[in-house]
Amino acid sequence: MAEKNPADGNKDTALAALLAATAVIVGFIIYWSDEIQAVREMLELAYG
Amino acid sequence: MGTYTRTISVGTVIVFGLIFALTDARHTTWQALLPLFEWMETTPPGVISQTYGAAFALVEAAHLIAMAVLGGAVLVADGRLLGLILRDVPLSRVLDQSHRLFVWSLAAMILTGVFMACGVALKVYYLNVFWYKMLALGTGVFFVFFVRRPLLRGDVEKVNPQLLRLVGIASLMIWFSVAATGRWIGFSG
Repeated sequence: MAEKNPADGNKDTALAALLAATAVIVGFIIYWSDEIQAVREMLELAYG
Repeated sequence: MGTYTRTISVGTVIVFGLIFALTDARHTTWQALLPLFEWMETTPPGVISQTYGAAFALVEAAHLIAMAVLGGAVLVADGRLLGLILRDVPLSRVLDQSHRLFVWSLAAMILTGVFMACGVALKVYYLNVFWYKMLALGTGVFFVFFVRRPLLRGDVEKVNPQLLRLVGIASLMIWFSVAATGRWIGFSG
């Protein structure tokens, strides 16, 4: 069985964090810009 | 490839999340959960919440306090990660102490949240924003225990500062979404 190198473990944790953080930031921007756009459209419908 | 198990796991969760969001699986799962929500209203917490308004209000107060503590723990930890506050205190000390507070407040928030959800189970079942909150909460729990904590538990001074900032920003975004969608539930339906 291959031993796990601690440096590889750190690299794996860092890469996982980079991937997860990027996905969260992209998802956050898409979700909240969509919600803000929906509110703007509602306001436009209500007040022109 | 075996050394990158955490990265592969995160990638798999993202891919499954996208498949779930973009296919009919989301709707099918939602329909399958209806009996659970109907049953929740008949449980003792559900009956107590519906019968005694004061009990619901007390639990909601505890829920809001837990959320405030959790928000404080997140702001302190992420503020330190971003280098905005407590710069004279060692990073690992701030992270360890705020994490302990975070875990207790999260447990209290989930416990009181389940109690409250039992009282208004069918109302929240039909609210889109409730499901967005659950998604944000699930993402938050996964992010903290599977990504953020393993990264920050070791020798945090050796981690790339840009990555620390990115993780801090992502964490703030997640918990902002949990709090915002949570308050939104109160103004819906």
